[in-house]
Order: sequence, then C-alpha cells, then structure tokens
Amino acid sequence: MVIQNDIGTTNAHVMVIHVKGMRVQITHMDIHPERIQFLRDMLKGYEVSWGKELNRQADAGLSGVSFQLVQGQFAAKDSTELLNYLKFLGSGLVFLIDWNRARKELRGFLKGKDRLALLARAAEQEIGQGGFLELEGANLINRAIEQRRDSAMHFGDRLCDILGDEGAVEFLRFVFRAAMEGLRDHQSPGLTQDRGRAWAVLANWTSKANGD
Amino acid sequence: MAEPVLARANTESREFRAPLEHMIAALPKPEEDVIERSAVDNLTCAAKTGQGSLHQLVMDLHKVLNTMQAELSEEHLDGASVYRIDAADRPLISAFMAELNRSAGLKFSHPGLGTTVTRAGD
Repeated sequence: MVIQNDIGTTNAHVMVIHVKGMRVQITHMDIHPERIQFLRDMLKGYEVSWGKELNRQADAGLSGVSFQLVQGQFAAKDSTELLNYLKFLGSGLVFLIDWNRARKELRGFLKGKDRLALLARAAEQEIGQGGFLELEGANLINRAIEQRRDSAMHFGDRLCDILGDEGAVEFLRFVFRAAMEGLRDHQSPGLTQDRGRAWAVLANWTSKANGD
Repeated sequence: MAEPVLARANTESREFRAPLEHMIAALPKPEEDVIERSAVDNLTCAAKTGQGSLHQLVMDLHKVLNTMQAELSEEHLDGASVYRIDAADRPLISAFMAELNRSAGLKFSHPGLGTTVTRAGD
C-alpha cells in the first residue's frame, strides 16, 4: 500500500509512505535540509533506519533551488506498533507545513538552536507554528514591542538580547500557544494580537529588562 | 508521464505541451557519452516559478497526475482518496487519517495534507 501526502502543496515537498507487511518506508523530499532533520528528530521515538540523504546542489550561478530526498525504514514488531506508527506519522505531518517559514520569522527574536528547539517543542505539545504564522508571525511580536512605549528594544535588537535566551524562548512559547488557542477558540485576531496575554507577558519582561 | 495529461483536451494540457516540446527539443546531445555539468543542473534543478526546468515540469506534471488520480479514486476513506486498496489496508488508512484529521486544524487556513492511497506493484 502506498500513502502519498502532499503536505503543504509546495513544490518538492512530498511524503510517500510505503507499507508492506510490518515494514513502513517513508520517502521524503524537501528543499530544506533542516526540516528533514526536524522530521528525523520528530520520529526519534521509533527505531527508524535512515538512508543516505540524496542531495541536489545547483551551481551557485544558477537560480535553481537544491533539494534532498531521504528514506526511512521502520519495522514494526506487531500490528499494534504498526498502527501506532502510522498514527504518529499522520499526527505529525501538519508540523512540517511552513516549518521553515516559521524558522525565518523567528530570526529576529531567537538564536538558531533556540528556534529549532522552539519548533520541536511546539510540535511535541501539538501547538505547532500555524497559529503564530496565521497571526502574521514576526509582525505579531513586533507590533507588541512597538506598542510598548518604554520598551528596551531598539531597532536591530533581537528579543533574546534584551530578555536573555531563556526569557525570549519562554515568551515565544507563550505566543505560539496563545496564537493557537486564540484561533482555535475563535477569538478575534485583534484580541490575540493587541490585548492578549502575550502583551501582558511581554510588558512584564520588558519592565524587567528596564530594571523596573 | 506526460501522455495522460496531454491526452486531456483542456487548457491545462495545452499549457504543458509547448514547454514540454521546447524542453525536449533543447535537450543537450551527449558527445562521447559525456554531458556538461551545467546541462545536468539545468535538467535536474527545481527552478523557481517562471524559470522552468525539465525537473520543474516533471513536478508540475506530477501534481496534475495526483489530481487526476484523485478524480479516479473509487472512494474517499476518512478524507483520503483511495484507489484499489485491499480490505486489510482499511484499518491502516483509517488510523493514519484519524490522526491526520485530528491535527490538521493546526494548519489553519494553509492548504495541504491532501492524501491519496493506492496499491503499487500488486
């Protein structure tokens, strides 16, 4: 049996799942190697045997993008484990959508490793990045900062430089959850953006950063 | 691969025919079984919109074939377009789709997660 999922409908991002007996082979094509690593990390709870990633690197002078193809094999012990693995795959695909876009949106706020950890945790907790992006991602944060007149933030500052790495990560975790819950509960985007708890948390931390 | 798409007499098939014929005509001729690296790159890179390569065309054709395959599906099983599956496949598909559907709301307005299931090599 072959299951094909188009994930986010963008080019070169497709997952094909071959199921034969108790064996499941994932074939994943992606233009972002970091997202392939995210997928591998997401499946670390299962003994997946990953094959070599096949790279396509265009010459620097060419406008084409490069992409990678990777395959992961998993052998289930029994039908229960097979079902659980397929369930896990089904539940996780949504977190691949716009993963790299979210990573880029977070550049102004967190360091690289913290961005990856934030997205991984958002997937583990079934929050994801969709809500954050739906509410305009970085703009959501920037507006909150701009509205804080006595903010310690200045143009060019990263949030982690002001709040510290831990504080910035904690704040972004909160924003991700607030965005998801706000949209899920049909709150108006304005409420989530302008008057939500994210604003209050940012205000408190900004005050701390100001030494209040 | 292109034949099923081109066989459909619609606007989409006409849009594919000209670039396909152009790319096939422009394929570099190997000399002494050697082909330029740049030619390989041009054939295989996933070019951005408006800068078509053969690889890009294949991917676009693939999308159309997916749509055509979905149109041919015998039924929808928990949101998946399924075609010629076995009875034993159903619980596996249902398990996969149940979790996919449960989490799909987290993509909000983003399109995606379209699923097609069939059998291959049987």
